Amino acid sequence: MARRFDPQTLPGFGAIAALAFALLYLPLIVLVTYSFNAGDLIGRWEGLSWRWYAQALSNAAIQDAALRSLVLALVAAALSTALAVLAALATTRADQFRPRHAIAAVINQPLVVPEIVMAVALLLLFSMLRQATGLSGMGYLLAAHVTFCIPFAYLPVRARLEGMDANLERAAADLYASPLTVFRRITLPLLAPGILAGFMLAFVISLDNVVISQFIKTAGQETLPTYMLGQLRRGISAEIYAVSTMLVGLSLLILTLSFLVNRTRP
Amino acid sequence: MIQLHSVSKIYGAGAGAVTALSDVSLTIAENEFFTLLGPSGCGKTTLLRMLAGFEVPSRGAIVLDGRDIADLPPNRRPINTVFQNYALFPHMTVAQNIAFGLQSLGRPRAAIKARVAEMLALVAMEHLADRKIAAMSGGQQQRVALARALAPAPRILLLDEPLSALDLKLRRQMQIELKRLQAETGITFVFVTHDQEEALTMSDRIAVMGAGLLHQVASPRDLYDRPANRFVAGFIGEGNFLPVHVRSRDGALARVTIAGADLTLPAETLPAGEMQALVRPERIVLAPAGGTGGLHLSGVVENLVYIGTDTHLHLRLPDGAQITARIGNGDPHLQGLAPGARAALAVPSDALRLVPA
Amino acid sequence: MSLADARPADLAAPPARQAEARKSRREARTRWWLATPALLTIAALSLLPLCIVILYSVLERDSYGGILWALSGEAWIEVFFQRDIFEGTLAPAGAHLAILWRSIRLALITTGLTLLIGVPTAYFIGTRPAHTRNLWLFAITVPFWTSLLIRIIAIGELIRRDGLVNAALLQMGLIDEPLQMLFTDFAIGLGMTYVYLPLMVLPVYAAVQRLDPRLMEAAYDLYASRARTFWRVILPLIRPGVIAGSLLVFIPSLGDYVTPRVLGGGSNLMIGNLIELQFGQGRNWPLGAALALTLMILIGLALIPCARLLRGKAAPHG
Repeated sequence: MARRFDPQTLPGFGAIAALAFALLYLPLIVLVTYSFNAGDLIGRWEGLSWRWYAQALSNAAIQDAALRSLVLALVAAALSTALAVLAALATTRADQFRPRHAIAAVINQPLVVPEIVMAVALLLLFSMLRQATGLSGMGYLLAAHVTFCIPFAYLPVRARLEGMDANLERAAADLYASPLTVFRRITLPLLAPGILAGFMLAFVISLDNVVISQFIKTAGQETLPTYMLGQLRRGISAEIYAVSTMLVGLSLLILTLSFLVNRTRP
Repeated sequence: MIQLHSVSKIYGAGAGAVTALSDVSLTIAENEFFTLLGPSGCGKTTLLRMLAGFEVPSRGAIVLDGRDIADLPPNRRPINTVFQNYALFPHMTVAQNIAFGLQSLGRPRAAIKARVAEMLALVAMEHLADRKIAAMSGGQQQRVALARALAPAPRILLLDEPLSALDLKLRRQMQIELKRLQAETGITFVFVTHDQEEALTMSDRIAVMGAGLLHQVASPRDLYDRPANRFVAGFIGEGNFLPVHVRSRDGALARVTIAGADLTLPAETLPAGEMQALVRPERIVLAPAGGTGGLHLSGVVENLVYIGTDTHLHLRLPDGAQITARIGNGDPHLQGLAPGARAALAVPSDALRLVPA
Repeated sequence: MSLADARPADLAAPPARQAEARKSRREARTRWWLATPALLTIAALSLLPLCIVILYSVLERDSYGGILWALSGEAWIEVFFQRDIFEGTLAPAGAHLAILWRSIRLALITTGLTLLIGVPTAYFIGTRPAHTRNLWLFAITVPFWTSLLIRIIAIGELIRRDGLVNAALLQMGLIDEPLQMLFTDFAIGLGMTYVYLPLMVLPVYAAVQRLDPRLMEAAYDLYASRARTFWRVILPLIRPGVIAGSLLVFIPSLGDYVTPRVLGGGSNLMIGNLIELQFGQGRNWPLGAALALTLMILIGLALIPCARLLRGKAAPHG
């Protein structure tokens, strides 16, 4: 029996897709593999070992940078998600509210500026502020991270809100619920997966940021990515691979969670 | 001439296999308006897609001009399709859509230009040649789809429920239009529809299909008057089906009881096995009880429904069966009939058709 | 209905409308309050700093870093020209122009390569059965959400002198000695292609998903070959996704800083690295600001033809 004629198949496209997946995953697989290498020399496999993980985890500089990165990402994600939820409530399901497109455009603005430009811009602003106020500290880094995380937290929340049936809230109001009760009992629970997805995205974005952190940080404010970037000057060590693998694992875990959470459609 | 030899289509395998088409054989003649008619899921679309080349039969052969084309891909068959929702290319103009097939075939530029103009004239769309498809109404899109499929002058034109998206008035108009196009171009049309009226109006011959089986291939008149079985009789037109009991069969005559009334019929009109009597509502007349010749029935009027030219009379027979008659409003016997009254009906012998159950 | 019945309703109407207008004003006010925190944050930390960049680009440089509060066009001149220290004559700034050109060239090559790989990949994913499609999509997004820096480190590992690629090529006998791939423009292009590929795949995939398979059937029914169907039917219909993907790849490639720093070594700079230099060793903040704005202008220039392409033949799906 002859094969059915499939009008959607194009010859060679499957092969190119296979190449794409190989290109995307091969480097990561190699990196993860070498992080378990027992030998000192990168590139020569000498058997399985946890030694680089042990070394990385006991490295005070890495501990310090990792803790800073995690705290920064948690706080920045929480703050940016809070701001994004409010903004999403303001700009969705409001056909009569004319400025909503303009507001959405402003909120998404950090997405259209190249990172390096935003890094330079914030560097100039913060150096002025540092001079004017004499204040230093983590506040600058946090403010920068909150800013570029807002659009990433905003997108899933807005998408979730737009998919929600406004009649549910109308029905609750019809059943004598006050606006606050409607929000607490109906809107917020339905919105929760979107908020969680927004938070996770913002967390990953903050955790992975290099360029902006690199420009803004002052002495003693290394994040994990800026620490790694700095270490690269001295040549790559398998220790960096171990840190990378842990970071990739964390991102993967969060991404999988947000994928699963977001599968429950409103 | 295109022939299907014992074509079957089975999707899946093993216990979950679904038979979409079962052992279909038929011949479609040159220059014929041939219709595949049946309810949704009957296999007519599968059959059409096999002719187009989008499906390959699991068994059997499709022979065009003496060559089996069953395995030929769609772009190598001299067969074009008018798709159900037209599938016009939204990024091209009307003229570009019509030229597409000719360009694929590598025809010279001048020939394409001339042919496109000819096709535009054929469907009366000359003034809209450079319009985008999105700017077209449903009826206009229908014409473009026809012109596009006819432009390469295919041996066979397949039409997949092309009128289903149009409103009633436009549909009537397009039915006449399609018939004209078929006559003018001399191309064999294979038309798929679930609408029996559409099929009866346009077709030279109709293939009635149900549940993957081909039930009957005949002209519209033969389908209506001489349905091959209960399925065809029920699908085409309206009909009353009455129980038949064969009392005896000696020589040329058979004595039967239909809905309680005795009757002698020529034995050759009886099919083999179980059977039912088909009586078309419009062939029933109101008559005084006890007449001779044909079938005489009497019962209680259940309901009278006025439908303009005629009245539908629903009668409950003594054996509990219900029968519907369509009586012209000019019939004097209709006067004074009301629900609850007794009425007598007569069916002429030639209006009785015994079909296998 | 009599006139007498109608009158009371007419009289009641104007106050009702006022109440409605009040309600919608109140709602608008609430919405503004909700949006304010996010808007203020972005205004203060993204829009305002951009204005500061514009301002700094026309100020005079302080040779110890920072600026002097005096207007000057020197930074913009320095983007393209260099001044002879003794005679004050201008000559084209060869190094800057070379870096600008390398950035544009590499960004274009990256966009081209992601198109070449990404469009077929997106099409392949978009035409998978519905139940496996999300999994394929997930597989594309995983690398996208892992740290850019880590992915660049990983690709550097692969193409090192004693890396896996060289080892494989030697093994196969295709080369006699290891190729110098790391710290070249090739490495930067490869790295950016790898890093930004998902940005091409995702929008193209979205467009492929909206494709009506009947249109492909119609093309084959009208004697089109696979190639003709792709070029004349599929590609024009997914063009909005292709253009969006190209922009999403081109913009970050042009402004990339991490990839050339890690894979380009010290010598193969792109605009991003040149900008950073001005705030580091260069101590020329106005020039850094002017270079950052040059980058923004280049991106703006890239947007114009794309916008025209999108508007010109944007065909809604029928």
